[in-house]
Amino acid sequence: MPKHQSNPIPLVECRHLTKSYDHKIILNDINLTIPRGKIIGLLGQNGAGKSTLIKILNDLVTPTSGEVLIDGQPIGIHSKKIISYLPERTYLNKATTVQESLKFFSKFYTNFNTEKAKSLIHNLNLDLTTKIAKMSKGMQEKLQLILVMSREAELYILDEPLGGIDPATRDYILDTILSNFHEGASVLISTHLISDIEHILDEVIFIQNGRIILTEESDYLRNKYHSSIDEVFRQTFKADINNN
Amino acid sequence: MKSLVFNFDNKSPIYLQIIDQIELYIVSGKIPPGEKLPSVRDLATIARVNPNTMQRALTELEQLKLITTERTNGKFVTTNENYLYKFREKFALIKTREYLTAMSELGFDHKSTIKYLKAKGAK
Amino acid sequence: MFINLIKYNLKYILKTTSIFASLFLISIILFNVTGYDTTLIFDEANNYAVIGETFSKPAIFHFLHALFYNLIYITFICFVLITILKTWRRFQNTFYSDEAYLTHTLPVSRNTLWNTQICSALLIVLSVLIVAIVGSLLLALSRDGMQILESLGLVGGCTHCVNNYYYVELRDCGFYLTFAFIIFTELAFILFCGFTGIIIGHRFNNHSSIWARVSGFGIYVVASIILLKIIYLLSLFIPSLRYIFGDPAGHQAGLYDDPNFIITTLFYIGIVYVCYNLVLYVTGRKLLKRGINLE
Repeated sequence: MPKHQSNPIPLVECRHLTKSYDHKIILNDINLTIPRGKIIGLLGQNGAGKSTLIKILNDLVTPTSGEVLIDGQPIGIHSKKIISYLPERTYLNKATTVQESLKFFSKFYTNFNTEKAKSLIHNLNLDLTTKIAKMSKGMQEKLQLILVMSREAELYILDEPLGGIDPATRDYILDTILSNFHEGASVLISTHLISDIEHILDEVIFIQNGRIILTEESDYLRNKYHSSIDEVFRQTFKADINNN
Repeated sequence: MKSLVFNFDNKSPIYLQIIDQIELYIVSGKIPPGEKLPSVRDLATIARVNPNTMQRALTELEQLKLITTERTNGKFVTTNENYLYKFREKFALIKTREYLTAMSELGFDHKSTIKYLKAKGAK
Repeated sequence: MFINLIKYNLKYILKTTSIFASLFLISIILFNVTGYDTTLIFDEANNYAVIGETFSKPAIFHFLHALFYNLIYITFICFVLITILKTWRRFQNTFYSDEAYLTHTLPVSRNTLWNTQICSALLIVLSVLIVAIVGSLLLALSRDGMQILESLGLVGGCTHCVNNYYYVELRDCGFYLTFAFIIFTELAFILFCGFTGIIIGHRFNNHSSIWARVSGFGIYVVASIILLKIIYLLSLFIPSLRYIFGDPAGHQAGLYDDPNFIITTLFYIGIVYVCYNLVLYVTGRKLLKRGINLE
């Protein structure tokens, strides 16, 4: 039995999570659970609250109220050890080289697999001595993805990993995600480009205006509505607008 | 095995599509009888799908008896002629029905279709 | 983890500051070399320095000498300014910019991150001090260098009194220690003001960088005013401090020029700065505990 199935504690649990800035509500009473060993899509339009929710899970934004438990514990050093996060932006020190980034990750993360990262970088024909500032944006994104996926984490959180890239890079990213995530781990992918990624999702979470509208298994939805998740999302969103 | 191509559309459950495509490959001989299958993860990488989805498809295929699991050796395609025959028949029936429907849309009735097939099929 | 974090911090900052430190020290060396004489003989018994041989040099050396004289001051000011700005910038980038996405997701506590910045800042101030000390020692090797040191009050005596003969008096050990102490604490205070200002600034959602500069500068100004008040209060209890405020009672015979007064004053000022630094450390820690919100 895979390790994750014997662990009854959910990987992530959010209870009545709310975040507001100056009276503007970004997340409104979010309740969700992320199980182990699944690839989950956090799907919503731009401004729906996806990034804020993800930042809260990573201790980059402080909730206004509510509770977040990661592996049964509040956010802290333990959660940061088991979460591997790929943000939308380049967070590496641009003055350093690829080699130095590898060294940095292996020093600070005990679950970092340097050999795997090196071979993935080698496959990209990327020289280890290249300075990050000199790399193209696309290359920087690929490097960050490699670093994130080379950690043997329990939860990978990827924030808009497919934004503004060509189909070849998109395929590379999807393949890298699928073949490298640590066994038993979950992957949370947040995106508004649903059709590009829906075929790899076990479950989907629809978020709109800071609220969770739906949480379901993707094949169940496809079966129920005889359409793609992208289409289901559009219909749900339309219904939501009409209800509001 | 590594050269197999899988295509999906997002409109129906992915695991069902995987099942259909693996069945087709087995029945057509592209995956020969008795062939050892790669691990679930590797197969998922080849097909470019979620390992969980691949696992679900393989479990179904096992229920359908197209695949057997030997505990220590892994998963193998069945060598049982009966099952292979049964699946070949199933696909043949689907294709035949599709063909007959297409021909009738062109204005051929059943008799004319068979006549036409006899004449052209020999070539 | 902690040591590694400091190493990465320092590597980044010292890379640039060492360039300016080198320029500073090279300016001094070139200044010495183009000077009017190159030998000083130190008479240990009487604490005097006596000029050795003098020989004239080509005119170009006069020009270069003047150039390097100015460069010494310019490079030193650049060195200190750039060190301060670079340290502030590093803190801002690590805590609130793109790199913050990496920093705050490392498996270390926020307290550790703050401690890292504080300790790095202290080590950087130490490096500035070391460069200043090495520079001073290099200056002491030539007569013109000694003149600069005298004009800064770092040595006593008289380097202009008689043409071929002058004497230089080293100050008390205590004087140098106190001087170094106060430079250390005040420079650290400047850095900490910047850090705290940046933290305060980012608690505002709009115009955070303006708020950061305003609060950082504001803290410095307010603290300096309070410092003056504190010294005044202390002077009520410690007579030797009263001379600062022009109190004739403090002007007892000869005591006004006694370096001990200067040492005492500097020492108390230093202590106040140490207290300020502790307050800023605790304030920063508490503010960070309330959480951050990266945009």
